[in-house]
Amino acid sequence: MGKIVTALATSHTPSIFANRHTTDDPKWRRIHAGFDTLRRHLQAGQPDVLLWIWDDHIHNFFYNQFPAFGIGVASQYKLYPEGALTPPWESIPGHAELGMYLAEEGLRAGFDWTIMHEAAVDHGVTVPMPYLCPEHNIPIVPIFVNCLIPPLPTPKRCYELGQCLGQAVQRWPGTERIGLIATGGLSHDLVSEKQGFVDEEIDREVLRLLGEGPRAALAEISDERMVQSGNGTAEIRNWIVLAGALPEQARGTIVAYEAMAITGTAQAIFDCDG
Amino acid sequence: MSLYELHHLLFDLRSYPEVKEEYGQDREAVYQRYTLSDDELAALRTDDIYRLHKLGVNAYLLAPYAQILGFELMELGDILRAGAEAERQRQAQKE
Repeated sequence: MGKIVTALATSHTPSIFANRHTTDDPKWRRIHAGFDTLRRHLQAGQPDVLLWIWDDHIHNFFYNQFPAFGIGVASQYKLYPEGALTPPWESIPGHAELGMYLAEEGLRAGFDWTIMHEAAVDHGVTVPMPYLCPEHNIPIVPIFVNCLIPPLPTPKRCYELGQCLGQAVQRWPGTERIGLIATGGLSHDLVSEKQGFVDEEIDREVLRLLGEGPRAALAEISDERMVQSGNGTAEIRNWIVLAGALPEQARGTIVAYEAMAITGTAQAIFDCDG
Repeated sequence: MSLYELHHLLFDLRSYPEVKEEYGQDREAVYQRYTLSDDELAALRTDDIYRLHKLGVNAYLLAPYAQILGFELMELGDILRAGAEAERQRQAQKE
């Protein structure tokens, strides 16, 4: 029987990379220290595979066909070239068998998602991974969520997808220890007249529900509220999928939250043994 | 439909180095391959990020395009606010 042994969530804003050497700003020092906490948490869980919930930034998909959800079934993933943001790695290993198993389980549960036999992961993976897993040697199963090209999947549907994943993992016949990672958000409004506005109210509400619960209330956050907050705030959906997938007894701890120049930047870990 | 074409242009510019190189040498040749409105062409020809934003360009295609043009991501908010203020002033003068 499969088991989710560890989980964490983090922002993936490129400003994290741009400020990786910034030491004179206490906010960035707290985020960098937060990544140390996340890495130790991940290592303690000793996962064999990571379900990595992220949104493609219009790299793999375009307006001609943009799915609501997708899942990777490949044995390796290329890195989408984003200049200095992209680590000098050839690829990241994938867990094809678990990916295909979850793809089929999702279809049986009514999630007619896109099956990705090939994909290039972007900064949703490559910004946090050097902090979390610098050896980039833990196979991933990428779970794609459309957060950027409306119309978007509803928060309720995102939570249900997470529930579907969590239940399917429990039926997985393999012995792998499975980790969950969601990246993105929190609030931000890129290339707009509001760029620079960080909506601490919605960010702190999301973090409160993740930490104190009830996590199911995340499914009720309205799309309108996220749109009002900013065009990138929709990435909270990735965190909502994770929330739905968590074991019921999992306890969340907010590691850090900082309203940075453009993005509400947050990190959370989950003790999945309760 | 032309917004889709404009998005396609910006997607191709970011995705394919050969298109980006051609764009640096001969923009008009690239524009000819897409069905663009007069407003969209005018905004592209004048590097008017504010106007492209107002025409509905997705932020996640507009940001990399602005960076191709040499703008810094962090200055785009100020550029858009300045564009909005200039438009307000033009409207006020008309009235």
